Amino acid sequence: MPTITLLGVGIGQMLSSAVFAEIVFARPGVGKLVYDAILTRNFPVVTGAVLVTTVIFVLLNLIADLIVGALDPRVRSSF
Amino acid sequence: MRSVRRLLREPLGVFGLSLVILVIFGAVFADFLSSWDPTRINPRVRFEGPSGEHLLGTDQLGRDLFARVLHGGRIALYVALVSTAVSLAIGIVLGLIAGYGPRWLDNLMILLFDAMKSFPTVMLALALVTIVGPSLTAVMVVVVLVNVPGYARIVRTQTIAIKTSEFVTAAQSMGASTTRILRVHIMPNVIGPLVILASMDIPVVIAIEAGMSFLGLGVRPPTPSWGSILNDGFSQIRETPWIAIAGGLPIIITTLGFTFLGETLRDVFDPRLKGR
Repeated sequence: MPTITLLGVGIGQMLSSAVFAEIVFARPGVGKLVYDAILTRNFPVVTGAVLVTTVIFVLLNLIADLIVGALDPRVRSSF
Repeated sequence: MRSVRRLLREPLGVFGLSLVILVIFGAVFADFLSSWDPTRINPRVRFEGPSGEHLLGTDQLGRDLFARVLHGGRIALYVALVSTAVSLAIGIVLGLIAGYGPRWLDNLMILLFDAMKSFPTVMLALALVTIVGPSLTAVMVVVVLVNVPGYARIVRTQTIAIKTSEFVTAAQSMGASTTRILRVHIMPNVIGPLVILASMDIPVVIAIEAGMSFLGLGVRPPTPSWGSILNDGFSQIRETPWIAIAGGLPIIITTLGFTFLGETLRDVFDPRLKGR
């Protein structure tokens, strides 16, 4: 059961590790976008991209917690 | 002393410990192990392969890679140890306050911790670097920001668990001050598992520093760091693979060593946690 909670955090952290993969293999993605924006001092783009990834990260954790709640009735009462 | 002997009985622990000692030795005696200046540029010998003179070869500016790797180890260990120590100190204090203080303060701090935790690590690092510019201090601040909530949460949970136990009540009824109760009675019971957790966080910190330096957002160029060596070698990895290897191998050795050591320490000190 804790595996699912960890999975949510893990996938979220992978989002940020994807920055390195995208730059090494020159894939166009959010990570590459942020990296290029930092090099050109493009603040609005960085702010937006960080906001988007953070929201995705939080949503992933929410989904993981909801799945745990659906599978394990003991956890549900604490919501 | 008994736990040290038990650590030495575990083959994985000995392996990890020897890797860690190797890295620390290399970083401490960097000046003696290599007579080359890690930042001296010598264009005549650029892209040379490993030889007796340059043990790991030279990079695109003719700098000796062996010296750069050793001095990069200093940066990596410096960042890892300083930021872990700072985040431990802040985390313990905040955790004790949250666990022992009034309810509203506890809720407020949990809210703050959760807010910090909601950022993916590298994204937070990138955002901060955009604001204050690339530097080693920025990397360390990010590491502290990311680590503190985790430590503080553990301290808080432990503090709440201990707060109502009899020896704390006894200390309260004898008129001990709050700081004394926290320092003498609660902190020693909390600090043990935290130190082991911190030792397991060190490889993560080193990886973050190397990653930021790889992106050119960590240390500034002439200073050697494993991440920047990796970046130097990465563009010519097909022609001169030894540059990328010189940057990558120490990262792997260090993270492996600290992870093995941390896991063995955890098993030795707390058999209940085995195979978490």
